[in-house]
Amino acid sequence: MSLLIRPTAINLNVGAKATDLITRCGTMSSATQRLAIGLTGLALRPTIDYYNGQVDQETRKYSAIKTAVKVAITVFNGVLTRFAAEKIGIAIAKRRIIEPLSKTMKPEAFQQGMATAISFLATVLTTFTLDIPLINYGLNFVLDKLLPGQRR
Amino acid sequence: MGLIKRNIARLAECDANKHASFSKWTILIIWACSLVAEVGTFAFNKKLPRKEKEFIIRQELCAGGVSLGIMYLLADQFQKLGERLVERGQLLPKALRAELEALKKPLFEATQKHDTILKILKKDPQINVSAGLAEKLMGFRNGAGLIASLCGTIIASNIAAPLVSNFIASYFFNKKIKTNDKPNSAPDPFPTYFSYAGQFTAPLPHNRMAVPASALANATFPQRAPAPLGVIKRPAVTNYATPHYYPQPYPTSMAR
Repeated sequence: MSLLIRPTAINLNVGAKATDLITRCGTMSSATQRLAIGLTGLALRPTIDYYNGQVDQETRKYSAIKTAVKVAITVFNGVLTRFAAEKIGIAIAKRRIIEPLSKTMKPEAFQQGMATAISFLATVLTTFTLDIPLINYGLNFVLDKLLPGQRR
Repeated sequence: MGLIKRNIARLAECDANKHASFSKWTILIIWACSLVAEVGTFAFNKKLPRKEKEFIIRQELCAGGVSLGIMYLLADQFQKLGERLVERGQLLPKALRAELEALKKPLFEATQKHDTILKILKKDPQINVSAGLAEKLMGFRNGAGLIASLCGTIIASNIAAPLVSNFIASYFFNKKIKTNDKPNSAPDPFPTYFSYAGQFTAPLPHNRMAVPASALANATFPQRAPAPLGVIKRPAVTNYATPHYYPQPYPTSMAR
């Protein structure tokens, strides 16, 4: 299924600096992408939960705090894991521990590819092992400070 | 090279060739993994009662599944929009546009622009362009696609998905409240009588003392085996003559 979005009657000319920025964004690392998604999420998601008109005030407050803690921890974890894994991936490619299957691939392109692949695998691992315990601990810590003595 | 190394190399080459698509799919897979991990914590939580657990798991799976669908839809369509803008010549670098417009006129007319740019991207030998133009155009197109896909992911994961999840959560929550608020079943105006297939549930209407159900539940009189087919409702015409009319234990004078 395709929504078939068809922009018409537009002719945009992009200057040299913007062209360079857009071309460099084409090779944006996964850590940068995660940071962009995470920072906007940290601003928007707790706000949406706080202004949820379908629940009462106390639930809204609790839900917003829970979301903020969750997003902060997952962003921090995600960016750190991806950043470290990208360095490891580039080192693996440079030392030729894993070599490209096709002979025509450029070494720089393969290094970037390895960085993304290793960061993806590392993130899947840390999602199951690190994220949930940290979120539980973080939630309990924050809720004890902000809402002491309340039943959760 | 071992199997694992070969597959990692394949992943790396897939990313090197199509970075925007690879990023989109990895974000979706990681989002799905975090949903599974969250549902798993509820499933393996021993402190939650079973009913609550089922309710929460159902709610999380429903909300998470819908969020994933929205994320895929928006990320995919935004990426296609970004790439299409470049392929149709509607978003181009100034320097490249000048070079492309210097091509023979039919190639860069409005109706042919799309095909021409696609052929340049595929490095078709029919179209004679300078070296490096195809790489620059490809890099620009990939950048536009990735930025558009990222915008779609941000809108989906930070605006659309939370709104939809809140709506689904409140729907499930209100449904649960309605189920819990259902009043206890009123006394049956047509109580069922004992049959060989059933158990005593209510006293006879005119000549028995009212016996509370709790006393009957703990009764020690001989019990029949529980009915696999359920209890038979009383017939339209009550036949007082048959021993089936009287519940267990029926009076000893009636015993055979």
